[in-house]
Amino acid sequence: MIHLTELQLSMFSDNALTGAELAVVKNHMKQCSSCRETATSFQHESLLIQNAFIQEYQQSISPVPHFIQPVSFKELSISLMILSLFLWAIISFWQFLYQTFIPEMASWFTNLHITDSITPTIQSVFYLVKEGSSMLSTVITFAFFSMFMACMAWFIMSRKNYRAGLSTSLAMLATVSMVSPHPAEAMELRRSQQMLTISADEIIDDTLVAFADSIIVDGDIEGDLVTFARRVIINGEVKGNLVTFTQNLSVNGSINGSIITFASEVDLTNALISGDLWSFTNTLKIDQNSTIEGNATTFNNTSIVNGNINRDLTSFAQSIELNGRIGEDVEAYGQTLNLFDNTRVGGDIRFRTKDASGLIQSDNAIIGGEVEILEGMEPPQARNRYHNPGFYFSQLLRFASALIMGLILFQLFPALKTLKINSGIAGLKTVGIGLVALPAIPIILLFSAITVIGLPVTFIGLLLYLIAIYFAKILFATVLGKLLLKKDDSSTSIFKALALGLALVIILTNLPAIGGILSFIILITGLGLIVQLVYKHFNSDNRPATAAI
Amino acid sequence: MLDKDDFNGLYREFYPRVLGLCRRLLNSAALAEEACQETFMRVYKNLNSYQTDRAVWPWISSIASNHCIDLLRKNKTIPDFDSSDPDTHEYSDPAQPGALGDMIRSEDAQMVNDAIGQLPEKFRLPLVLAFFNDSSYDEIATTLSISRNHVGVLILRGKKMLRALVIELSNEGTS
Repeated sequence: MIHLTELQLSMFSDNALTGAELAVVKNHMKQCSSCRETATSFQHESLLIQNAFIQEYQQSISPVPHFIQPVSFKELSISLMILSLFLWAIISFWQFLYQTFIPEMASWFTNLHITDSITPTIQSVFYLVKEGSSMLSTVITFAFFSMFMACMAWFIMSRKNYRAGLSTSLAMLATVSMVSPHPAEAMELRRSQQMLTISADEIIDDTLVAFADSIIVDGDIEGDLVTFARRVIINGEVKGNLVTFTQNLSVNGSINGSIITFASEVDLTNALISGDLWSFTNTLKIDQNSTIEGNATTFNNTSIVNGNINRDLTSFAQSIELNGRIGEDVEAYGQTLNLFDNTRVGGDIRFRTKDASGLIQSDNAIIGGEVEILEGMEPPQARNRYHNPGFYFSQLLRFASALIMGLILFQLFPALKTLKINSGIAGLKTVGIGLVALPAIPIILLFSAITVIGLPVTFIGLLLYLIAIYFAKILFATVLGKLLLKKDDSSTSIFKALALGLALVIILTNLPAIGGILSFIILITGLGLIVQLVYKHFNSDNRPATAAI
Repeated sequence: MLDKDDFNGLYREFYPRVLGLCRRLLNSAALAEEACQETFMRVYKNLNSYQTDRAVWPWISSIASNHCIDLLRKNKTIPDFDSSDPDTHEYSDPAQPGALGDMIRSEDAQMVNDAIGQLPEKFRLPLVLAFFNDSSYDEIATTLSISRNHVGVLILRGKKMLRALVIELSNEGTS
């Protein structure tokens, strides 16, 4: 009898034989006691080797060292994002406080001019705080109106919670009607076909919006004054701001706030302006008895300044005549700049002109700093923005940073890849929701901060809000890219869609004149997408969020 | 799918065994500790891909053994499994399979382990994978990139060498 080989027996004992090999061994072992005995020994040996291994590691067990969990890509990314946002918030706050500027080299990191959107929001909030009680009623009205609109939007979107949505909306409507002040108390509206006069003994407690052929204000206005008229004469006192759209504006009284005027002619005679002057006029005249305590920024054909401007004068005009006192610097863009005898400038004068001979300076004019003529130069913003190669480089960096942040975002939250807008109406709805959410969320959060318990909620909420704003344009860019690629399924290359969308968004937001508006629309659309996505996530019976909008 | 809480339990339960496996494969305590940490790092990163219908130990041990084999390859200490090793002949058939059993029954498992440590890597790796790691011959063949029968040959020779080494160590101890 031919016995089995050791290899066969060893493999058999280790259960390593299969099929025909196994059958041959089994058949042989039925007849051969010697091979059976050897196989049993092999099996026993294998078992004992296993036991020897086990005994060894059991005897040598030492305290299990602490496992240091690795930082995952997700955690690292989130940490970096939070850190970036934190730094960005500090920088923005610093900039807001001290009016300094982020170094140009670092500005590319901000997402598609995010500061364009945030800075006005922050400044608006501080402005409201600064203005105090006179504006509070308007703020409350706006806040409750925004809350009401948000609840209405939620109600409209709510299908499953019809009753809850309806009752909430009605409750909000009732709250708004009870809590918010009557419109007449917050703002007064007056119209006249001919002349509208606020007599000297009349006091308007709140903001006045007036429409008339001529408006004469001899009395006092406690709030702001907004006028639409052919002729406006202010002899009394406006405690707030003056905003005018008129042909002729004459200010002989005092304005405690600032003046923003769009007019053909503006005359300041014996006027006291506590704030700034923003003038878009054909001719601006400031007489020697008038004082502007803040800055004056003018866009005129002719500027004649005989009075006092306590801070800077920035003037874009064909002809600029100075015969008064400027507390700080003068920045002038134009053809001619005449500095007459009574000119007193505390700081420097920079005159940007095509022809240096346009500067005529009297010997009696006193300039505290230096007079600099920048010949042939245009205003720096206009020149730097499109004619400077650095601008395009910074846009490229901005594109790259947004692309990277977008890809990280989609890596972290894959559900966002499915974001899309299904129809034009859905798009309009998204814009509307974003428009409401943009001011409503921070205002609601600020109100919640009134309570001590609400402070952390406000802080976390504001942080999430800032994150949402940061990514709003990126999400919009993705949706836009997918629409253009006509591949709206989840298998679409998100990279291509994002890159294409971001390129378009950057081009659109940098277009002259309309770039700002487009930027705002893109921002609120992206925010609307996020709000709807969050809503769907919390109202989908805990299913993974999908985002067909 | 496992989560991080599950991982902590796995780590405490399997750390000694993984360390032992790494020590046996690498034949170095220092390298084994590093390899063990790296193994659990990989386990941690791949928690999401683990299918709960599979046994845990084969999954973890396959990660550990693959890593150790990679280390040996990287350090170019992995043997050429196809070459014939003349050393194997001098140990050939020194005793019957039962001889090893007699040694271990005498509670001298440490001697067996010492003998395993003295085995050439060529034979130690398949033995450790088969009897410590509970890998099948097919799995060992895949890990070492050799055929299943070749694994059988290496394990058989490894057992023979082990017997010879145990007897040798035993004789040294008694003399």
